[in-house]
Amino acid sequence: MSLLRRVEIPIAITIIFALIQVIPYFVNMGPAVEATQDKVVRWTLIVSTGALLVGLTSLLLIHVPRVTRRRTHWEYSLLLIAFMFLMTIIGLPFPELNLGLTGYWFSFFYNNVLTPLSASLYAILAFYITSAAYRAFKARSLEAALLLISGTILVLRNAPLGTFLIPQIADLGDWIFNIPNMAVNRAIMIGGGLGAMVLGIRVLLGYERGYLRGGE
Amino acid sequence: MATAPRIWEKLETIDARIIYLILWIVILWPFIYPIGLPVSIGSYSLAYAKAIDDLPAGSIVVVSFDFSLGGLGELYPIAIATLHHLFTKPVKIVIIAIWSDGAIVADMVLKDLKPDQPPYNRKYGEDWIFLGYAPGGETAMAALGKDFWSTLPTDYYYKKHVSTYPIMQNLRSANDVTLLVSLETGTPGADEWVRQWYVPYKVPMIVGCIGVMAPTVAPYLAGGQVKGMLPGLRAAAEYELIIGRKGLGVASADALSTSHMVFVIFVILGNISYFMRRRSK
Repeated sequence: MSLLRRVEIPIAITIIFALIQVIPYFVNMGPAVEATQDKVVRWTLIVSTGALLVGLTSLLLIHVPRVTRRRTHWEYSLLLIAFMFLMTIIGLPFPELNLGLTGYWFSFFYNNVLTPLSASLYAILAFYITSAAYRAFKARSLEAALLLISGTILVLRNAPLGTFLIPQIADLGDWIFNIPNMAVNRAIMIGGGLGAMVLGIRVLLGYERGYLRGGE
Repeated sequence: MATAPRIWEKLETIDARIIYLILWIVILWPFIYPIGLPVSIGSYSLAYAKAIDDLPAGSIVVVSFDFSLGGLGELYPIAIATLHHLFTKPVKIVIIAIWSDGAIVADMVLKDLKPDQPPYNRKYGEDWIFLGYAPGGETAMAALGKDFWSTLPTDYYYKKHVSTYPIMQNLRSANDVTLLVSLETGTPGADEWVRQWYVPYKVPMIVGCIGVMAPTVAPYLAGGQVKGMLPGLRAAAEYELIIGRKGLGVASADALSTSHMVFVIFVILGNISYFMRRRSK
């Protein structure tokens, strides 16, 4: 097998760079190791910025064929491509042409197109959630009833009118939030943390190969 | 007798558009005719305000905009109120963004507040600075914790090197930061800040977040890593009342009440119709 296709090389790179990050986090390894760690962090930042280009390419690979082959809703794909390039061009740092992130045109499109669209999309959730809750939030079992009661109490606790009409709802809501909710969330966090640790060890030992295009 | 179950069945399968219309009316109505219901103030909001009030003069506070436009509805009032509170204190404010849209949202908030003008009269580069977006998510948080100058070498507005600004002379790493304020809608957010700034540097933080994030931030409040939290619009209203600057939070409180009440009524109605239909079977 060609040297470049050997799986040991990316695994070795992963192990080396992971150890450079992990060990100095717990143990003081001296200025040389810390400087290397800083350099690796900076590489990560550069790579993550470069990932934007991957995103751009990926979007084009999906949407350009949709437009050229006139697939269903190809008009939306065309709109997406057009606005992607428009925002990229007007976001270029040429302040003398009123371009750039703080320029007039970028702010204009951002404030008058993207902001209202995003806010509307988020606001629509309230309508969907109410409709969905009306249909699905039913006390079909003991567990569902408990969820229903605690959810309703917290909704009432979050509404100024709820605490105004029933002042005790504030204490009850706080109790649900601070005791059962906190306990469950801590359990999830601890479980997630342990899982991440195990995954990290598996990656370090070379057992986890999902990131190598699927692994075995 | 056959009509009774049909009523419950009809009620259970009510057209979604009727629900949308009722909700739309009850949200809009209080904006036209405000009710002015009292808003009781919770302990988390008090703790959030206290964390800012207790800052010694000259402290460096980092405010991070970790959200995109989707969170604007809930976080914009919190961002405005928090920055207003900070700009009225004799502290140094460094504004950053870990989310790409965060920088633009921060710019919108700053343009609304105008910190250089009365009543604040805070000098850019001396009392406050806006460093813009740091790409890389959690890695950027770690890099900022180690070295601000090399992670965000220029400011957002003038693209000048940060070393030319007096405010940055005393800020090299997270060790120089007295308080971190994270305004966030998700990941990266509180979890990552705790990992990258609290654990290694012990930087205390306060969090303004959307309502649905509150349960995930709560364990950090109990653990002491997060000193105060403002979850959602109600908390924004509470905070505005604490600092004595009524804004969007208070203005939206009535709509929050009516919409939540309608939600509860619909849930109760849905359950009544469900049980009545089941009983009639």
